[in-house]
Amino acid sequence: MEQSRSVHSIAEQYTEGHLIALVGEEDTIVGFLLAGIGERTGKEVNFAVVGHEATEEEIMSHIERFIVREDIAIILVTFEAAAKIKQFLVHYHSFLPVIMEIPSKYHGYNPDEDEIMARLINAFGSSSDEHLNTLTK
Amino acid sequence: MSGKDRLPIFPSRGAQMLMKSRLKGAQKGHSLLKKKADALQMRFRMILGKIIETKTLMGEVMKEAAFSLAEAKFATGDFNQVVLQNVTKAQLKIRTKKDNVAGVTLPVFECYQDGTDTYELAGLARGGQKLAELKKNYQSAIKLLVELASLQTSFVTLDDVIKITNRRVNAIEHVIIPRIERTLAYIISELDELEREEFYRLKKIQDKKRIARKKQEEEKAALGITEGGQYAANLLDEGDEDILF
Repeated sequence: MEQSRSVHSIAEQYTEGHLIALVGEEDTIVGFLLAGIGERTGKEVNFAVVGHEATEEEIMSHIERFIVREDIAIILVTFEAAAKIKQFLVHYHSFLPVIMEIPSKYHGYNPDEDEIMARLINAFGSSSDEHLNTLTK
Repeated sequence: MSGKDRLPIFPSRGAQMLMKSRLKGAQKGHSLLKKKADALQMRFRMILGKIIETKTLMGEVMKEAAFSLAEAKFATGDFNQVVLQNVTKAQLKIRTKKDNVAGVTLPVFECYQDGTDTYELAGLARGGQKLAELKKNYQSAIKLLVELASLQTSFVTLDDVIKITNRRVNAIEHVIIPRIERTLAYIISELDELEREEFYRLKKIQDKKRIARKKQEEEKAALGITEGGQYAANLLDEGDEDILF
């Protein structure tokens, strides 16, 4: 039912040409750049290398730079960087661009530390725990 | 609460009709909103399952991608700077679409290939196979992440909208409809009272009229007697009948 409806309404509504931005440590960025998400427009690039010692202000300045750009639809932030700007992420509710945390080379994915996962559990209370367990197992 | 909480309206037949139609409207709105909430909830559950699935998958894919990066580096040597310097045009881009669920717009992202691979001739000397594998791994990671981005925004939006809709449903069910019902009850009781008053008034008037008519008739009767033999009576007892009693 749902399939047929979405097929019907494709084509006319798509807006194309959005980019993915990246904030994180070097290796993760290099990996994604090789996949082909990097773009240079003049002097501006859509990724920012932030090391382990990067401060909150530094990361925030990069994020803000990407948020005001209209061609960016998704901002990926590696886990270490995201942990430093948690305050901002918790209150960020905008549609475009979407900010997403991604696991980095040094830090694997852990559902317990994910902000969205926390909200998932919040939204469904204790019942979702069982749900979570059945799905993650 | 209590019986005092009602709409400030003058109790009349017109107001009663108005309230009745309002009650109907509120009930219709309530059922429609409830349907909307159900539709959203259904979608929400679906997204919830998908998010958890994709998130765990994403964790694995990213781990694999990071591992293949290390492998490629081992084969090729450190190419970080070469890659960072040679950024030109994005090859993977995103298109966005707006999906509509029961009047709520949800963003849908989709990634697509645009142009050719910039790193084909980027001066990376060796390890072509490992690099190709690395690219493929990261590309699949991006596909997953983009999918996850749509799910995640849908989730956040739906969460908000469902809360608002549920609040509305509850407000209509527990505040608006009871208030209208109380108003209706008030109008009906008030109208009943008016009716009783009116009835009593009519009875009273009828009573008064009857008495008045009786009096008139009596007077008339008295007059009629005198009328019949006015002159005779006048002549006979000169109207001082009372004195006789």
